[in-house]
Amino acid sequence: MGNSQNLTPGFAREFIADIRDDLEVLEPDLLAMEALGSNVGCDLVNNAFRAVHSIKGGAGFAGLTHLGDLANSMENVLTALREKKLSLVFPVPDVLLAGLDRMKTLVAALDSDTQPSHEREKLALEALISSPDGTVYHGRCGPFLADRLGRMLDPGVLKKAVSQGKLIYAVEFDPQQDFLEKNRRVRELLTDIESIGELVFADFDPTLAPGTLGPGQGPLTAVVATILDPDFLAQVLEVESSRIIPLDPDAMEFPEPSPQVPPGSEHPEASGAGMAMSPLPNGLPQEVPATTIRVNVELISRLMNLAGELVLTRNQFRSLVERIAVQDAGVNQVMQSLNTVTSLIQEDIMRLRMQPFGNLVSRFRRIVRDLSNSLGKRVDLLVEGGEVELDKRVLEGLANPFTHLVRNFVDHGIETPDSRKRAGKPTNGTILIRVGQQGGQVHISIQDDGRGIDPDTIGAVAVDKGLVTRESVFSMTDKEKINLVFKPGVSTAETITDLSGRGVGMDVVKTNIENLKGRIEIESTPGRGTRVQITIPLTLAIVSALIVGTGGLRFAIPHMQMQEVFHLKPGELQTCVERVGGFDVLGFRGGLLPVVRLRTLLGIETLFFDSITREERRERRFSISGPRRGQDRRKQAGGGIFVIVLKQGINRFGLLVEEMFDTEEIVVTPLGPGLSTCVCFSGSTFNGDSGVIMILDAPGMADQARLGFGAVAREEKRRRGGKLGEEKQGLCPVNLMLFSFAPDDYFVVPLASLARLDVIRPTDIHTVGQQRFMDHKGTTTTLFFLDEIIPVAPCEPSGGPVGVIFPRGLGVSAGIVVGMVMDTVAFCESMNTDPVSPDGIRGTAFIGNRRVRFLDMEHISKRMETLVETAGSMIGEEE
Amino acid sequence: MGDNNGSDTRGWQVVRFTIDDLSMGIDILGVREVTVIARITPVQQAPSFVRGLINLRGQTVTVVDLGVKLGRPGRTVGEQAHVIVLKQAHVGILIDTIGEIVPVAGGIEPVPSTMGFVENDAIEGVVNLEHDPVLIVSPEGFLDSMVTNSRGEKA
Repeated sequence: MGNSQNLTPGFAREFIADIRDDLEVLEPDLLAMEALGSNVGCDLVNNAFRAVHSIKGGAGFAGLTHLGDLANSMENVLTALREKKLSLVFPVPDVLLAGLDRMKTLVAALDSDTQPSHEREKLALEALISSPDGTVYHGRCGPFLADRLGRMLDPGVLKKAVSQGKLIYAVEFDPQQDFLEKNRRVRELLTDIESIGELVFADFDPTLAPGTLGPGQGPLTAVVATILDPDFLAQVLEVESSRIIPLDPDAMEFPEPSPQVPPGSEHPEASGAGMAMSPLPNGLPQEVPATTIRVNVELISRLMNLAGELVLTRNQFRSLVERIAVQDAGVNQVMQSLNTVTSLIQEDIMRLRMQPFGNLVSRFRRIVRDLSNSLGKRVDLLVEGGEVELDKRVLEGLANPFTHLVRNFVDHGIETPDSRKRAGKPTNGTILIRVGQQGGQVHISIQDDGRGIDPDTIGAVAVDKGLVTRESVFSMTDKEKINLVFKPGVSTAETITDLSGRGVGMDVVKTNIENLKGRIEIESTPGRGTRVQITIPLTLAIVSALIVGTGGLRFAIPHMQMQEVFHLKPGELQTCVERVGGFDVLGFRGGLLPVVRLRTLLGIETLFFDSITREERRERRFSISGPRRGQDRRKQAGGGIFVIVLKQGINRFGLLVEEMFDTEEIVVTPLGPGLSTCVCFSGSTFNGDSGVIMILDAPGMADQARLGFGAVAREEKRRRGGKLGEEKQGLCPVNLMLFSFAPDDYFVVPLASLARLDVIRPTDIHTVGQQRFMDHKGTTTTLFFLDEIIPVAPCEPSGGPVGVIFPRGLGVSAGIVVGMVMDTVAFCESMNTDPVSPDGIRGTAFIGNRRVRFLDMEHISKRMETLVETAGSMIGEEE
Repeated sequence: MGDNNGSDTRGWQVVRFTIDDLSMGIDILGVREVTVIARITPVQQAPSFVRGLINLRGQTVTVVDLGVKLGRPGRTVGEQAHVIVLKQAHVGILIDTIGEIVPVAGGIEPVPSTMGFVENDAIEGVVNLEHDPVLIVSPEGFLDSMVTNSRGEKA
């Protein structure tokens, strides 16, 4: 019973799929209704009604009588709620939810032979509305009618009528009964209506002759505004009172005023073109979906692959176009369009498979509600960022671990209301779920304001269960002890409930998260609360990546794993790198950065050209730092090396590569079977002409290289503590002025070498011919921009104030525009000098978190004097 | 298609291929296509039997040298290297020469010890085709062997 017998299976499946969708929509609505109680707005109840009505219809078509029966009872209750004949206090929401659950089990049992009974839920629903004093409201067509009419009525007219003290009714006439048989003209009806009120609307032409209303014509609807009550109105209009349906204009939805939709035309789709958004009292907007379409997941996968291929082809085409260096502006324009369209297609297709995290949340709300009720606790569930989208598969993978976490929080985290009151906390516990996206990662945190986790208790339990030794626990930080809960078998529940106390949970949660290539961590403060942090990479992203090269091969590094990149000139590498505790490290930002060569890491053999023996030889030197300090015999084309600063959690390390190419948007293909030993890679992608290239994984590489961040950190500490032991010169602090000429290009000048520093507005700078001047404090002074004096990148005018420095002892009256003045710093370290550096730069250092270059003021002053003389002589010639 | 004798009872067909001196075959129902590859991207740190990745019309396919799995030295990817791409996963088997598609009569026998051969998940057994024993590769077994080997659990 319950299986479709009248329809072909395919047809029935469609309806059943629709029913499942409706059931999904229904649960969050019912929960929201319960939360709002008597404050609930009609929109929410309408939504729920629509869903149940749709289920009833679908069940009818598919021959599912039990389901249809139950849906009918629920419909009646929802109608009563709508009519305010019933209010949302206990036990109404519970009965509704029980009805929902029963509908779910009925649907789930469709394939089996036995259908569970729905009598209990049905009787409960009916009991709600058949009360001794009220009448059972049939609600045949009332709410539906109101919805339909809402699209066609003018709210202004209705409001005016209401303000005149009139009531609004919809009256349904049966052409056969009310007109033909009574030989009554429609026009007479109009007169009747006008005598007692106002005809707001009619969906038939009032001037029609009765003969034109043939049998089989559907009911005619008129909307009337009158001061009469329904019974009196029925008398006057000579219709049965059940045909008089009161309407509440406040509860009706009116479409946006749109000139394209002619009044009175029935186009439900057209008026639904906009999303009707009405905020609920607690600020949650409820959307009325316009249209959706069900799509086969296979088709979406294929579309995604094709989008990937399109990106690839577009890239290949783009490099061809660039190579041909076509002058034709038309080609470039078309290329632009192609770029834009391809990117948009790509984005939209990616979005097809993405679903908002909020879809999972409704599931949690139900669990929180049921569990907290059964445990006698009160818990509020708050969600931020439910709109962040994840790939459907990732969402599915998160469902189980999250369910478990939420259960844990309610079960073990939140205390009973009594305990909370005694602890001075509000009786309602709060669980906050936050979802955010950054780069290619999704960050999700769940936290509560409950009893927290005691690190020592966990530590003791872990030792008891033999999972760790007492000694290792002794040296652990609190955070490390708390994270022991992820070890299998750890549980501190006083009573083992059948839900989550058995202690098998958290390790499974961790495994699940790691299967999605994510990470999970716990923090907690006993007595205050606990927070679980989860990070999941967007595996199916099209990510932004930097293409680098070594040994003739290319690799991609996802931007989100990179912190920054800088370049070391040939020879700089040897001088700047030291060996600390068995690792090569580079001085960086006042600290030490472990570095590793990409080609060493991957075991790529490279050949180098020996300029002395003039032959290609195999690279055999793998250490970076070394005793050789002179010129490197092995000249590599272009020279220098790039240091890519990568992240592994909070650690940083530098990856050395010989070549750096563009940033590209790449489509990530995860590694296939058999490649799990490749810890340095997170996937592969296609890259223009190069075919397949591997995508590097920073944490994996750090593991592979066995980088000892702890040892490096200890050495850093040691150095910071014992500066005096170093054999560096110039320990007296020197006061430097720090400025930024071009973005991310920082310079310092000893304040002692300046005669003057001014800060002027760009409008103060005037240009005459080739020369710039500034008017300041009544005098005109020649100005040079820094890049006019020494070879540095030009500045980009930002419109903000700029600094002008005047070197001490300068023979001419001129100043240097140095861009944005940042700060003055007291510098105690020594500068790194460079055998090969541009004129005007004495050396480099790291200050704060920036790499800065020291200006050579002697050289700059000389240059300025020369420039001024030259300019002066030129002007002299012109005159 | 190869000669159809029309007398087989089992009704399945294999495409024949060689790896070194070994005469082999695989059920054509497990084969998506046989392709010639021009360029292969090596994957550092991959197990020795993984030769690299190729771009097959927008799909990344992992190319495996079955010969290495069977104890033979690795083959070089020449100009016209053939790869049998499996249907089940984005995996391809690097082979020396490709043969015909032939119908198979009779069942799969276990590999006789006289073949001097190490047992391997990838090999389902032997069939007799035109009086020659032909090693039959099973796609599922092949995929299994890729996974277990890279965990280092089996030889």
